[in-house]
Parts: sequence; structure tokens; C-alpha cells
Amino acid sequence: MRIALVDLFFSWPPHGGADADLYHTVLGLQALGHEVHLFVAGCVASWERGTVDAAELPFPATLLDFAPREVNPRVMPARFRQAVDAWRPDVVFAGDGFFLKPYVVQALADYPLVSRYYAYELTCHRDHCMFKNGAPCPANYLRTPNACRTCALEGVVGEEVRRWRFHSWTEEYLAAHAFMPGYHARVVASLRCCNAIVVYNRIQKRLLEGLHGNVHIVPGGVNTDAFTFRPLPEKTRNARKAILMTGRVEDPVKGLHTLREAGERLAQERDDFEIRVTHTDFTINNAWFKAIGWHDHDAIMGLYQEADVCVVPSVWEEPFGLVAVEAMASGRPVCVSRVGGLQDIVVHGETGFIFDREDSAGLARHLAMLLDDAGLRRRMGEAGRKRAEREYDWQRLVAKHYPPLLEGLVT
Amino acid sequence: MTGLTDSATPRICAYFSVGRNYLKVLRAIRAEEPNARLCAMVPAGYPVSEAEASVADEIIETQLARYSAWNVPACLRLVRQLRAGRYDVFVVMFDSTELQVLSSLAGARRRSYCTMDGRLVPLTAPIPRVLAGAVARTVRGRLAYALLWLAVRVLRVRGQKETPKLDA
Repeated sequence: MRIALVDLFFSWPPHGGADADLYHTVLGLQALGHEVHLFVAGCVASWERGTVDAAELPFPATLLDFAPREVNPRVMPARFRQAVDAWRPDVVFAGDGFFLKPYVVQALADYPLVSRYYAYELTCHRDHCMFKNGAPCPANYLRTPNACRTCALEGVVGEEVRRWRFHSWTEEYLAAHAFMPGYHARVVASLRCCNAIVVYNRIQKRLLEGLHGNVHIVPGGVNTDAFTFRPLPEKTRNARKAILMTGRVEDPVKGLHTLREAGERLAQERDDFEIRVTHTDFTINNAWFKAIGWHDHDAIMGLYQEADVCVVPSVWEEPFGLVAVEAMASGRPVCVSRVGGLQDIVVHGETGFIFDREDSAGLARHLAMLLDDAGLRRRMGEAGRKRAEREYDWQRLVAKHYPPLLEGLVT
Repeated sequence: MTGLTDSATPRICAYFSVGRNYLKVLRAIRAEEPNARLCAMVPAGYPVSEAEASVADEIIETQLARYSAWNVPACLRLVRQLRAGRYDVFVVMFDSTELQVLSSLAGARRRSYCTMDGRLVPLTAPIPRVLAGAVARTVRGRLAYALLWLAVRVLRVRGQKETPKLDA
């Protein structure tokens, strides 16, 4: 089968989980014997869009260069359509994109079409997080468009427009005229012209209920060859153990405050731990808390190897939780909050612990158990590695989920 | 770009700001000017990584860990420290108004900022133009916001029952 994959933001090395997801999906489909070709939007004025050397990728790819003024609902969909038409695929897979994606999807509607959604970009115009005022937001743009349009202006979109300096989220919001009432009908129509929708978890699927009848849950994965298992280093009972939190930790929805509070609780009773976070503001450091700066994709692997325990304390409904799977693949026990896709990744008491959202006392309790018991850390780490290999290895994951989905489209 | 300066061994200062791309900035400068004396100017107490230390020739700390434009005496001391360095090129991590003004005051003959994907872009505007640009952007942004606000408040999506419920 010839599969064209289109993405409005793909970059490699990856800027985030969506890039890694698409990269490994393409590799997995190629390994299954499909002919694949990735079409990526690039724009010299935007580091977020298409920072990639297509010739360096291990699969065929075309970088479509757009001038800043061409990032609009007229030029971008037409260019994608032209490029895809020239390649003549059997199926089109639409990857990451924000407010311009519905236009691109509609332009490709003549093909059997699968669309992947990575966060809440369909349902939240504020910041694709569906998280507001410290709690999950009950609104959903597909059902409460007017409330969500107002909310967008109260959030990052309004802030960036007032300063007239944009990231791609706001740039696409303006270019796509997502503030206009007609945009809602376009989003719904773009959903309906997809033959299948792919999401990460049950919550995302539930948000689309009644709008699309063919929604598949396909979790993300991990490259178990790159994230290698190395047994936990032997440490004496009083030696400092490293508790690691990686990812975009400066984003409030990632819940760093919960880990910090848990650290304060632990610090009242013990000094045999150090919390390491990939934060770039080192002024928050103290005796047991260390901002270690941003680390790129390759360097992250080494951080897991040096850690004793990993924590993912997100407070929003994390669509997947790639860092939890990476930690498991590296053989480390993981403590995660009971949100979104995270609660499906960790098996409580087997590969780590699950604590309630913002429950720093619960997190501190679990961390204390892990710090006290090297055997428990080792057992959970090993169980996590096995689970990562069994459930989240990219090749297995793609082989399990995509063949039935794709065959259903062309028969 | 073939180089940041004409000098054979220029002194280049890479000024740190809170952000993810400092190492990328250092590497981009080193790639452009392999023979330069590269000074990494970091805040007091900054934990320099091995990778950063290996790219830079010299690590210099500022007096404070954090500067605010409202703390004028501290900013003046920072400017004095920068000018004393006699740098040929001054590179900042972003093209914000504050960093553009600071780079203008640093006394370097050339100044640049590094984009998130590692491209060095020259900064050429003098301070009055930087400030005028900031004012113009703010005015334009406020006007655009007002129009958006009107569009959102006046033009409504019809046929929708707006009853938010927690789908999650």
C-alpha cells in the first residue's frame, strides 16, 4: 500500500512527542512493507515548522517550503494536495497541525484518509490542553464553540496578539480565521471527511463521540533499542538517590509544583535524595532540588540511566505521557499522576505508583517507599522494561494497530 | 553567512537568557567562527554543563542571577561589565526588545541573535528604532485584539447548545 503522510510541524530531531510519534509510525509502516512518503511543511521564519533535513531521514520525505505569507488556508492546502497528487498514494495519513489542519484535511478528502490527533487541538482553542484555572476544563470547542472562542482570547492567543509576537499556535489561529463562527463548521466537516481518526486515549475518544464513528485509540510508543535497559546502580542506604522529571517541566500543566511540594515533605525527614528536573531556570535550585537545563533527545537517554526513580506529576489530562514510557524502557520505576493516558501506562504497584492529581503527600509517600527499598526499585524497573517492550515498542505497536485500520480503509 | 566578523580571532560574547537553546547558540557561533575567543556570559551561580564548557573558551558570570529592567543601577553595572569585555560580537538568545537594547549598549561592533533552530541573525536596528518598533507592535496588537474581541463577541456560532460538561 502507498501511504502518504502529511504534517504541518514535523521536525527532526524532534521538538516533542508528536514528531517522535510520526517518525516511528512512518518507520513502522515501512517495516511492514508499505511504501511511505512524508510531506512536511517548512517555513524559514518559524523554527517550530519543518526544521528537518529531508535527505537525512531514513524514509522518503519532501519538505514543502512556505514563505510566511503562504502559511494560510489557501496556499498551504493546495500545495499539499499538489504534492500528494503527484505521488499517487492509496491512503493519506494526516499528522500534526493546529488551526490550518482542517483545511489541509479537506483538501485531501478525495483519498482514504486517517487523521491523528496528538493533544486536544480539536477541542481547546486556548492552548490545546483543556486545562484552565488549575483544573480540567469542561468546555469543548466542538460542543461549546462560543465559550471556547472567548476563552482563546483570554489565554495565550490574546496575550500574543496584544504583544503582536506569535508562536505557531497563534499564527495559525489568525491565518485560519479560527475566531470566526464559520470555522466551527469547517472543523466538524473536516472530521467527517476522515475515514478514521486516531487518538491516544479514552478521554480524547469520548470527546469525539457523536461526531465520528471510527475513532481508534493507538497509544504512543518508545524506541526500546535506543532507550536501553541498564540495571539500577547499587547504592548504599544513605547514598543520594536521583529523582528525575524530564520534558517541558516549566509548563504549569506538567505539575512541577507537586513534585517540589513532595520534595519539601521528604526533605523534612531525610537528605538521601536529589530531585533533578530539566528546567532552564536554575535560580529555583536548593540543596535537594536541581534544575539541570534543557537536554535534547539523545542526552535524555543518559539522564534516565543516572536516575533511580522517575516522576511524571502532570495535572492536565496528559494525552499519552511519552516520558513515562521512556523511563520504563530505561528500567526505572515511575510515579505518575492519575490523569489522561498516564494512568494506562503505569501498573500501580508493579511498574511504579499512581497518585492523585496534585497529591504531593501521596507522591512523597511513594517516593519514600522507593528511596528506602533498592529491591523494590529494581523489581519495578525490570517490570517496567518488560511492559515497555511488550506494549510500547514502536515496531510491535504499529504492527498491532495499523494493519487492520488501513485495510479497513481500502476494502 | 560566512562569518560574524572580519577579525581573525574575534572576541565573541554569548549572553545567556533563560531558555532551551544556549548550547545551540554556543555551537552555532563556534561553527561560524572556529578561531574566535568565545566567552559564555552566564548568570551568577549558573551550573555550566560539560557540553557548554567544552564549546566556550571562557565562562564569565554576571553579578546577579537575574536582571530586571526596573533595577536600573544593576542594569548599568551589567552594561559596564559588558563594555569592559570589549567584545567584537555580542550574541543574544532572543530578539526581544530588552535584549536588543542590551546588545546595543554592550559596545560590540556587531550583534546577533540566535534563532531556536540555530541560525545567527544580525541585529542592526539602533535603540530608537527598536523602541519605536516595540511601541508600533503594541499598538497594532491592541487594535487587532479589539477586532478579534468584537468578532468573537458579536458573531456567534449558531445552532449550538452551550452546555459545558466535563467530557473527561
